[in-house]
Amino acid sequence: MQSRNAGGDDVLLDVLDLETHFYGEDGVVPALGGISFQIRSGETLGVVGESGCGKSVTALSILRLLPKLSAKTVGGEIRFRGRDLLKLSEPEMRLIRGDRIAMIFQEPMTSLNPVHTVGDQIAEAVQIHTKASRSEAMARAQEMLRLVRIADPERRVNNYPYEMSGGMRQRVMIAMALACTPELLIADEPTTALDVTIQAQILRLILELKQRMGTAVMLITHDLGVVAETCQRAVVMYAGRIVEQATVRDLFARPTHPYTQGLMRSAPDPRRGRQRRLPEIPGIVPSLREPIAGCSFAPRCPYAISICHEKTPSLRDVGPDHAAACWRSEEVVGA
Amino acid sequence: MTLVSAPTEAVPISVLRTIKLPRLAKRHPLVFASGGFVLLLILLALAAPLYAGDPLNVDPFKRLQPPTSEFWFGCDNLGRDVFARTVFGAQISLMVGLISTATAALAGLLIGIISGYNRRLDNIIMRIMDGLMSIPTILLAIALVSLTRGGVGILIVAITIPQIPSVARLVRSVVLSVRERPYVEAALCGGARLPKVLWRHILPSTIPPLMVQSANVCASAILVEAGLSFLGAGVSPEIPSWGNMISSSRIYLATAPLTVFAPGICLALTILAVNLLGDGLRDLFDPRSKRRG
Repeated sequence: MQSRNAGGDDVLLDVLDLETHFYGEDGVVPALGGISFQIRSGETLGVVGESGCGKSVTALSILRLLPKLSAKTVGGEIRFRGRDLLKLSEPEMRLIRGDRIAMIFQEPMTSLNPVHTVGDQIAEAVQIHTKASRSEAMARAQEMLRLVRIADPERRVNNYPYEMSGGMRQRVMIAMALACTPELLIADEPTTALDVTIQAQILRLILELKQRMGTAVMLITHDLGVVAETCQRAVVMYAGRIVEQATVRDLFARPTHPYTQGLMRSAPDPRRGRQRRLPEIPGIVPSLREPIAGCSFAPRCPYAISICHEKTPSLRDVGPDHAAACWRSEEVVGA
Repeated sequence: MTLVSAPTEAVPISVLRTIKLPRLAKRHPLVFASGGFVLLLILLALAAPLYAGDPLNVDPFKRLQPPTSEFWFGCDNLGRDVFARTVFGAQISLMVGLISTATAALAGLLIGIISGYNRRLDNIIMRIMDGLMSIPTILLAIALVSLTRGGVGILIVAITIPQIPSVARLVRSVVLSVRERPYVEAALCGGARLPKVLWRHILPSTIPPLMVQSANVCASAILVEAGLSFLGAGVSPEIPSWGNMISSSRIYLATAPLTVFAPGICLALTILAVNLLGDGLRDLFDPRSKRRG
């Protein structure tokens, strides 16, 4: 059905029909309605979508760090180097977290503990997964700070987070995440909380370190520009499902799902000069509380026909390494 | 007793590590002065045998004697040295106050952390705490003392138990707010074990509010000890304690006022200092409360 040329490729993470539900007071919310994607070793995969479409839930599901009482992964597989993470015990999972899969968060201001020095916190991450002594771990912390280009790491290692700016703190977070040279780095909107000039620096840093360490990156963002610049492949999510996945080149050249097209149209394009008003996608994201019949994008879709309101489309190949979940993708491409 | 609100921001306890005395005196004179006074009191009480006379020596010829150069505060109704008794009384008051505070703080910390992290136990523990909170301290103490042979140990237990819930609630509230912080999630993401996360990332945030609350607990513990001794449910009458000194001398208030005022004023000053220390610490840890006030 969908593009899954797992054959010769070195598949690092293989997510299959992942379903995660949230349990609220007013019923079950299917936050992830069965998503499948792959990340190959060393590649950068962009995960795009608007707020609440399930990007972060996907990340937390992979690391099995969903809030215990209110959310649960109810179906699917998460194969990491062939092992299903969902079947591992908690101690086995702890060995993977931080060591082989690391994560950086959106909020550098609050992701560091204010009561410990940054060196302490990086060293802690190192010591959890290696037998390094305290002084070896601190040396590694210093080395990592230098690697993320913090000036004067000998002194900065003893800084408390409040003594650093947002950009520096995000660098520290990156240092912490990469301290154990993980195979996969999940970056959950790593630049959203930073100002634009710093954003570019941080992204460049992540890419450079990724290249040097051979780490694959899953970059969660809602910024298509970031995806275009940094990723090899991208996944577009809408209402807890993947609506399109393709190589970045293909995605921008031939967006095949009406939602992706809408997203691209609503991004400002400096080449077109001043625009009067950016086109927007009419309507709002559907509430996941009520069951959705048919395609979840149908109510907002200019191409919707009767089948769209009745049956949910699944991802279908529309080209090499390019799949879209749309009943009318053939017609949509040309539009 | 005022309940301290949990700080919404994690207060860097690193403040404590970097405190320098001259700076503390300048920026937080209240903490400096009251803390200094409390320390002085403790030292004076500990060193009592070095400079004060025998508090137990009875001399009927010196009954209710006014102050002299030998007996600075005069003598009580049995001719005992009021100064010596006041100073040795400080030992009992401070010991009971500090030990019950330390016990209540430790027990409350443990219960609060467990309760804040385990939702299932939380319900049970907090209902027990609600129950404990409803027991009047004085009644519990009188009951315990009359059921047992009494003594300082029982007194400390009786004072400690009703103080535990307030500490436990406070710690629990801090844990509940801190456990949702991104850095806790980040630590879990890094593969850290839960006990380690509790110790390294959650416990430190509970210390500043715990210290403030402990000062309040300590002040009320000292006061309750004095009250119980005054009522005769505390330490036995021959052992000097501020409460039973006031109690045994109160009928001589007109003839020998110092026999009542000496322990009374000491008690008042001690409690004032401990309370001010608590207030000062709160301002020190939470700069916003000072601006508001």
